[in-house]
Amino acid sequence: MLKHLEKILQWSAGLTAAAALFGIMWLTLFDVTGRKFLNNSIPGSLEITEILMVVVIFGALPLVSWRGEHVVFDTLDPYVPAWLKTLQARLVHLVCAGTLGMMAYLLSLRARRFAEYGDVTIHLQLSLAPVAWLMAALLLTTALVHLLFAAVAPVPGHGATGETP
Amino acid sequence: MTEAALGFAAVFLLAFMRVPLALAMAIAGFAGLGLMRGWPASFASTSQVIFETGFHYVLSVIPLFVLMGNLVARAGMARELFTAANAFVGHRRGGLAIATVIASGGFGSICGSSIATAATMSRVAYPEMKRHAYKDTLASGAIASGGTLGILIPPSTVLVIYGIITETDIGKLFVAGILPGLVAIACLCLAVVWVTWRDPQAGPPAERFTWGERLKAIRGIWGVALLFALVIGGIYGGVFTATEGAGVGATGAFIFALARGTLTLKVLIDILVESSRTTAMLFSILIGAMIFTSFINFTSMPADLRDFVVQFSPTPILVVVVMMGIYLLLGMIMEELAIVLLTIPVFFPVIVGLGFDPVWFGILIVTIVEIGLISPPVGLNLFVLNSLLPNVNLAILYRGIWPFVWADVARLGILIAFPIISLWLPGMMR
Repeated sequence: MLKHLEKILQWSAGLTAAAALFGIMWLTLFDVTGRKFLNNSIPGSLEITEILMVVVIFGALPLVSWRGEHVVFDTLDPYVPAWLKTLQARLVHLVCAGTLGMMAYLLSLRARRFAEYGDVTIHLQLSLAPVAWLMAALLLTTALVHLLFAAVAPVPGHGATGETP
Repeated sequence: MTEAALGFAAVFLLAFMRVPLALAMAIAGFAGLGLMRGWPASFASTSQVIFETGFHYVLSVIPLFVLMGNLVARAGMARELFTAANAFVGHRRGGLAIATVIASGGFGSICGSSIATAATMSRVAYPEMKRHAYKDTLASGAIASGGTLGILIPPSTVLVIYGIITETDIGKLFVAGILPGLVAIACLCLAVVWVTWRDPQAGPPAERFTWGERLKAIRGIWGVALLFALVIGGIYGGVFTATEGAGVGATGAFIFALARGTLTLKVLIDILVESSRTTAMLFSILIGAMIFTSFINFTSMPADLRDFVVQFSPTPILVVVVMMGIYLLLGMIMEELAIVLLTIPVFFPVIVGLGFDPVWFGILIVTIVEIGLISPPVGLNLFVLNSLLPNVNLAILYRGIWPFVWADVARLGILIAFPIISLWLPGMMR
């Protein structure tokens, strides 16, 4: 069951984020070469990049949470008794779920406001509301991942430290 | 002041309970703002920070440099760098370890991540050192410490993040990292010399190369040289911004990896998804730090601290030394990057208020993060090597790293004493 869910996340959110990142790379290259050598940049490439960035960051976030790759302080781990570890993991997942759910709610408020005022990007006149909705939806997905782990057994690999550059 | 202190206490409490740092900062910042300015203001401010950090053109520099690093790590360029460095110094005592440090520095010039640099070099350099009967302490120490050059020598994800938080010019920060990077290579090489002077068995000499072989080896690194010249040269010469340079560099790395036949569709997707995940992880910390910063900036702490520090104004350098000392001590038990992100909103105004150059301070901060990556017991590069080299346990890693940690501390002292090393090159930029 969990394996299937991970596959689904990997192939939906993960692949979309990957494609968006690949897109940003080519878009930046064509925009630069166009501007430097042909005196002609891609119109609105900045704004497209910004939207793709949202897909990359928030699309990959559920996967980061799934794999327990967030940066955590594990300094106290050796001193936490084994019986407490499961409880601790569940509680932490619950806190994460609550916080991310709150963030999703805040973004949904913002999305509604954007829709109400009809806010658009400067150049391409793209509506901002769907962007905020997308953020809210993906934050909610991430919150649900944590909620799932709060309910079922601790995550495999939860003991690993997160990656830093 | 009290509010800010409570805020910091809350972050540490949550973080030590194992709440991800990004969320610990977000919770403390959000609640702090809510209690001080009222909840509607906190709602608005927090959602604005999340939206604007995610929807921000300049920040695309982060995923692009992460992607570039992951692509060059697969392109096999590290082997040529190591061969070239080895051709010149390998026949000396400890020469392979010196070659590892130099090659790591070279790899750092096209890769902005210390973990990717250490991981890549461990695959290339460790088997070679093992074959020449190097001791594991020296071999692992050279790889772990060499890996940290990835974030000092441009491009560098840490400098990008510092630049974004403090609104310092990323191009200038990159260029500033070049000379300190050379100083760092020199210090680490001296550490190798010291180790092999104390214990000649740690790193016996390898075969000597002829000049013909050396020239051939040096020609092998044209790919790295080209990418570095294109990206950093382009940024230095003002041809493009850091973001544009990152896009060009990532595409260049993609083409190199493709041309060398190291990319299948599956590998490419893996690299892209991995880069996206790293990006998401970095941004969650960035967003958390920004939410926390907007709270801290609303408290009296930055101003109080500035007033407190002013009494040191006859010898402002003392403040820097004390700050670095605090970082070094905290860094032994905690993730350095996290501490830096957490303290920048408080320390940075003080540094600027004392008249120091933000670019110089950025280089010091990177050096601190580098030391944190290798200083036992909590050093991420050591953990990475521990998982990549199964026969090298943590005790060996801890024992082997100390000479390199001291070399890094000595370098930190040099960089504090001579700001010109960091500031000369960026001063020449247009």
